[in-house]
Parts: sequence; structure tokens; C-alpha cells
Amino acid sequence: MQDYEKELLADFDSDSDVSLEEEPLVENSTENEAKSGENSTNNHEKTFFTQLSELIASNTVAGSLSAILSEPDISSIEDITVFSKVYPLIPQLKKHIELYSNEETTDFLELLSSIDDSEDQSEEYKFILLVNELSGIINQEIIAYHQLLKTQYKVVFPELETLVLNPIDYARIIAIIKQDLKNIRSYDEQMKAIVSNEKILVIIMAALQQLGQQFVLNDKDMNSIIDCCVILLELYEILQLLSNFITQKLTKFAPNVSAIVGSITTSQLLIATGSLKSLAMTPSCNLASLGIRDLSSKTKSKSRTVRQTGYLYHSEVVKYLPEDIVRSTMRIVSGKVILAARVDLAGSCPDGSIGHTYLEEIRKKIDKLLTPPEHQPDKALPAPVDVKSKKRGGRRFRKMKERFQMSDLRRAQNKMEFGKEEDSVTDSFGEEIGLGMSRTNGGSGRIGEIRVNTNTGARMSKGMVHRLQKHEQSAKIQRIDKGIFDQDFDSILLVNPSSKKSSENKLNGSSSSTIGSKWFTGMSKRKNEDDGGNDKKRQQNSVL
Amino acid sequence: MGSVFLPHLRTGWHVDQAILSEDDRLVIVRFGREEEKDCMIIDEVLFQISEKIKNFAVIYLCNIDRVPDFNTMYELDNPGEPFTIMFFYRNKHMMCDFGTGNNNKLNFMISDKQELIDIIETIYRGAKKGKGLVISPTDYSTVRKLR
Repeated sequence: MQDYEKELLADFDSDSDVSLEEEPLVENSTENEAKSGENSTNNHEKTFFTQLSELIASNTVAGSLSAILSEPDISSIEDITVFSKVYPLIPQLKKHIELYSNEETTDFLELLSSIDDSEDQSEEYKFILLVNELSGIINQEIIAYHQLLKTQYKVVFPELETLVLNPIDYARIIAIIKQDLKNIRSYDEQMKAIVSNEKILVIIMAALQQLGQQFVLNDKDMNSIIDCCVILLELYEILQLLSNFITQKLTKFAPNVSAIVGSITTSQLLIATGSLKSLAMTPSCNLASLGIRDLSSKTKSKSRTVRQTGYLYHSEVVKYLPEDIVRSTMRIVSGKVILAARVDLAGSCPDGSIGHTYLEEIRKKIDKLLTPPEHQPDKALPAPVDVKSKKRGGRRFRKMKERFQMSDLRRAQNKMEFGKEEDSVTDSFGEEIGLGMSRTNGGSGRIGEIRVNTNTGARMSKGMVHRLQKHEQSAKIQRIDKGIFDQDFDSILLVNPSSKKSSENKLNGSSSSTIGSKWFTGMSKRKNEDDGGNDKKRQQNSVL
Repeated sequence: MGSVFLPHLRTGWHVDQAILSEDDRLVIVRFGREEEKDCMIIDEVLFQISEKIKNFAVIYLCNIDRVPDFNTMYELDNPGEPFTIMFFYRNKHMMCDFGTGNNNKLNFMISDKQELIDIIETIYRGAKKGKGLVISPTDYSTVRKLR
């Protein structure tokens, strides 16, 4: 409760600056009126407007609620009306509302001025803005009087405040039953108009139980309670009047916007942005953040998932939705509100039908968002039938396998003839390798019988063949260019014919020698050198 | 809950017809008493997988008190046996080696749905190949406590 009050106060604090700025403008407009010649009403008018703006301004400073609550001795005060700042203004307010609501339509110029600039807003528009501020104060005062009423009436019937939570109904019931708990049954019919039958039953039961410990107030005290009730109800009445007035006026100013979000939110948005024009120019993404009470503190926001708890969050369309779709709904609504504001600005749809169609669209979208996801039944598993895997490749794959398969000759070699000695050869490593039936071919006796696989040989790709051919051709051309000597390098090497002979002899001979062999030429060379060196030494020795 | 949604076989004739009628699917019959706890649990598991396996198996329930015809033939209603699940394919009883010693039936609790699906798939595969006995994908010799 206390938190809420503080928030309210804070809210008025933030808005008061706007109203203060507007104050001189109001005076301006009234002065204009004065020029037109209505001197007698002018004074009255001026005082009323200034009173109103002062009231709004002062409210932020004092805070009527806290003033009442901090009052040291409530019972000592004779006239309770002093607490209310709005109460003395009520008759004037009523007069103004009548005055403005009687005007059939704003004339074209007025409409233009309201569109053109926030500086030249019409007087009526000003009044609407002020009245909107006022409704907050009245709400606050109702709460304050309710609090006062509760503290005073507690001695008579303490349970009533918990049974009837609504301050208006509470005041009405007190006005009906006063402190006549004994005959409470007789007020049955009257109470039926206010609360439900079950509630009445509960109230009667509680009242009869209370009867024993009831403290009977004297007439004076009771009268003050009744007065309090009357003030509260009157305040409520003027609030209703004001809200009706605002609704009526706003349907004129912004019929499409108010069709979507309702008159209260519309007025809040208009006040926050300043005018219909600036509302229409506001990007829709900014709309949700209008009217957030405290941007800095995180603790104050009531919702966990939604950060933007502004005017739109508290509007009728969004208020009752579950948290998880609020964000997306606000996005949808703010887009449509801005569109509607533009339509209103153009004045192309004064009956608000576009707003209603927008609202219908929004409702449909909300319905869609609210529908639970469809339950998908379990997908049946496929029957676990083992299908033979398809083999890859056809002719090409077969050829590839043929190339690597065992040849017929090798297969024959692996077989052995029964009861016969196998032919065998010794390979280069000195191992004996059996030839099996490869020679005999199952008794037919000739090797030619077994056909040799032709497709197991090494192959070249077409590209490779092509490349080799090219290479050969180019080599031929080079050879022709270089002449005869390059063709055969060996033919022009000067070789000692005798040594060649000897090496041939040695190769042919049984004794293996390193001379002339391809590999071990280095050794022989060194030997020769050594021999040469020795000769030289010998020569040196002989010289010495 | 599962026992409410799965089809019940009310008489012995119904049991026979259920086993005979399926041409291409495994017929799984749960014999037992719905009111007993373990039976309720397995009914729930069977119900949960029934939609998944409908392409290759169908599940029926049979109360052994109302249909006592098979109690002696299939050795049902043994003490300590919470329920008995039996598998049939084209009027042939399918056996499965769970490692418990009794290949004729599944008479121990399996609370994992996928495990049960695996067993049913294995039996179906074997049945398709004309086998009468298959080996369960998991061994339950250690799972079941001997009484």
C-alpha cells in the first residue's frame, strides 16, 4: 500500500513539470478570450484555470494523502472537506464539463490548431489535459478518504473493511447501514444494488456477530462519518463525470486511437507525447516505454519479464494478458496505435472504424498467441526390416574388382596335384616356391592352357597417355634441333678400348670384381690413386 | 492409466483371434492384473511406446483373473511374477533369451521405454527371418533378483 502511494506521488512529480509549463499557455488562451470581450466570465475563468493548475502543482509538494495521514488528531477537525483540494472545485468543474461537452463539434480551425503545433492547442484540449491530471488527484483523494473512513468506522464494524474492499462500495454501505447493526437485515434490499447476494449474507452474519461488542458513536461523530462518505461518493461521481468527458472528447480528438487502447491510455499517451501530431510522429518502438515510472530502479517494476511497464502496459488491451505474451502484444498494439494516430491526424476516419478494425486484428493476433501449441503425437518408428544395402557401381566397379582379383595362373599355382611331386623353383631370396598345378594345369601338362588375365596389367589413364605422347613429340623436336651429337651421348665418349675389353673380360669371368661394376667404382679409383702416390714416393726416395 | 487406453482381450477366443489376425506385425500380449503396482507401471510404459511401435507391433492386455484359459499352458500367475509379456508372430510364439533363464516370456520390470522398444525390434527382426529364438540386446541375468 505504502509503496503504491509513493509511486503515485512520484508519478505526479514527474508529470507536474509538464503542467507547470502549460500553465502560462492556459492564461494566454484565456487572455485571448478576454480580448474578445467576455470580461465578466474572464476573471472567473482565469481563477478556475489557475486554481486547477495550482492544485495540480501543489499536490506534488504537499501530497494530500500523506497530509491527512500525518494529521495528529483527526477527530478534532470539524470540517473534513478541508482535506480535499478538489472538493471546492467540483461545482465549477461540473459547469465546465457541461460547457465543453455541449459543444457539438470543434470547428475546423480549432482542429487545425490542435494538429499544427503543441504551442497553439485549443482551450478545450488544454482542459482535457488538465482534467486528466486531475483524475489522478481525485483517485488519490478517494484513497485518502477511504483510509479516514476506515479509521473512524473501525469501532463500529471493523470487519466491513475486509469484506468490502472497494472504497466506493464501502462508503455506500456505510451510508446505508450507518451504525444500525441490529436491524441490518432490513437493509438487505438496498445493499443488493451494491454488492452480490452472497456478500450481503456474509456482511449480515459478521454484523450480527459484531453486535455484542459494538461501540455506539454519538451523533456528531456519526455525522462526520456520513459526511466523509458523501464527500467520497461525490468525488467518485465527479471522477466518473470526468472520465466520461474525457472519453467523449477523446473520441472526437483521436477516435481511432481511443478505439484501440481506450480513452484513459489515449489521454496518457497524448499527454506524454504532447500532442496528437507528436504522437503520430513517435516511432512505435518508443511507445511502450512512455510512462514508465522509474527507469533507473529495477526493483519497482512489477513484472519480471516485461521491462516496459508504461501506459501501454496498463492499458485495457494488455493489462489482463499473461506475462509471456505481453511483450509481443505490446509490440503489435503500439504499431497499430501509431497507425491509428496518423489516421486521426489526417482526420480521414472520424467515426473510429479503422481503430475498431485494428482492435479486431489485435484481438485475433492475441488469440493466436494465446492458443497452446498443438500436441504432436509420437511419430511411429519404421519397421526394423533389414534391407540389403545397394552395391555401389556397375560395370566400372566390376572391372575394378577384376583388376585386383587373383589370376587363374596364381590360382592354379596354389593347387597341388595329389600323389605327385610338385615342381618348384628357387627365387632370388633362395626360397623354394612351389609351382603347384600351374605347370600341369590339372593334368593337361602345358602352361599355355591357362589363359593369362589381360586386365590385371598396369594401365595408364587417357590423360597420362596423352601427356606422354606430347612429351615424346617435344623430345623429338629437341633432338632434331640439337643435332647428331646429342642423339647418342655414348657415341662421342672417348673410351680406352683396352680397359673396356678388360672390364668385359672380368665381368664375363667367374671371379667377381668391382672394376667395371656400376656401384663400387669409388674403391677402385682410390686404389689407383694410392698406387700412383706410392710411385711418386718412390720417385722422391730415389731422388733423395 | 495405460491400461485404460490399450485394447483388452476379454476371452480366450479374443486372445486367439488377436494372435491369429495379425499378418505382418508382432503381437505383444501382457498377461497380468491391472490393479497391481508393477503391472500398472509396465502398462504405462507399454502405452507410451504403443504409438511408436505401431508399424511393427501391436500391444494387447489380458487379465489373468478374467481369462484364466492360458494360466496353465503359459505357466502364468506364478508367485513373484508381477506380469508376463509374451510375443507372437503369425501365430508362432517368439522366444527371447533375456539371460534370465526363461526364454518364453518377459516377466521382469523394464522401466526404460527405449530398452523395451529395442527388445521388440530385435524380436521382430528375428521373426521376419523366421527365427524362433532371438537374443535380447541387453542381458538381464543380473537385473532380476532371484526370489
